Amino acid sequence: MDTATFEDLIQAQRNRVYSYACYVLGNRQDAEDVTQEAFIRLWDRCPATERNAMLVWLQRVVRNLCIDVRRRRGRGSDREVDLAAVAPHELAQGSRGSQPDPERRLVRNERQRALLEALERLPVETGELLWLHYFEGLKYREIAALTAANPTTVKVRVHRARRELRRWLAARLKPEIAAVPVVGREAES
Amino acid sequence: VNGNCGLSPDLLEDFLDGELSGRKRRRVERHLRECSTCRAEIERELEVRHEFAAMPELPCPNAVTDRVLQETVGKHGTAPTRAEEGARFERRSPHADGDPSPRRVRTARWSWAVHGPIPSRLRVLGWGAALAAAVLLAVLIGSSRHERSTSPSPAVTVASVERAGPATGIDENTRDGYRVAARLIGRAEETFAATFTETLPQIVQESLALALQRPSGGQG
Repeated sequence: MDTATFEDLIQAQRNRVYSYACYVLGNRQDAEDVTQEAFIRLWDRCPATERNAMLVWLQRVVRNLCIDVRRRRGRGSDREVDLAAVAPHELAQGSRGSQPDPERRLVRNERQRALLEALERLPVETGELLWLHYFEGLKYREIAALTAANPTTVKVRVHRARRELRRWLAARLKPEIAAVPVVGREAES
Repeated sequence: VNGNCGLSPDLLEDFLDGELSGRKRRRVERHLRECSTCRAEIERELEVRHEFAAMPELPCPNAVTDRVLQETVGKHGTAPTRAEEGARFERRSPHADGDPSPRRVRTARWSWAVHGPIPSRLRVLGWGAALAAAVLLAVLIGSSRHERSTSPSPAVTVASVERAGPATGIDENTRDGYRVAARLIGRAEETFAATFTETLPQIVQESLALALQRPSGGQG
């Protein structure tokens, strides 16, 4: 890999890698460590020469590093820190979606925090699947390639993880938050 | 079954993925008109997707990428190849010793010492032998010039020792020591080894033992 390609990859992927690590780990310091190590490994060890293959390789490394960190520190051990890791203003202002009004922004923050908490509470593999599926928007076959699994198996696991997440959210969210319809309403508001 | 409504949960998930077509899709649509439980499930799923999609991409601190570039491009200039294992990174786990920072320990080795003819298992002994042999070489050169300047040089070379094998009494470690010492002082192995007499291997081995005990040099 030449220097220009590497620097280009860093610029293009740094926020995505960091966001993934930050949301999955919920801790900025760990996310920074993972991001740094992932890019250094990309430079040191990546055998791929084609850009997409490099990205898959990078994502796989990030994933494995996150799993290592979570296993090392134990599940949910510093969840309070994790929730504080993503500041409310970041959740709202940096949103990739439409900008809701203040009231709906509060609802959104509450729901997004619940989702992040769910990612932490659920088993490592489940949280990872959900992240790849929802945030990264990967298709089943893409997740399968990333996790070296059968696409059908991935699909079954994602379906199961989604149901688990919904159950978790239904039990976790306050009724007044859960009752606010967000989907499809913001553009109109 | 989704609750008590009779619809397969997988069918509902496939519907959410847009994978159903024709008869199956119409069946789920009919079911949704009647089943509030499944409608709530779908509503919740859409909310989850919406919230995930609305999550911000967090900005990675510049310090992180600066460190990456410093550790990679700044150090190498070009990507290392497998042949450059001598300069390979060896990294300690950042949390293994309670240190949360991802500091990296680069262990640079002499590539020729790694990839040269010396077997890795003999590397330590080879270095010890090299040290001892270098000291002995200096002594020998001095003594041969002043005391035995007329004596013919014994025709003992690394190559001849290797050909003779164990019969010379010079073990493999010592032969490695010869080679390393020759390189250390920048001389051809043959020229270097030619200064040795048949009595030297024992001396070298004794010096090697001393050198290994006292890395500062076999001064006794």
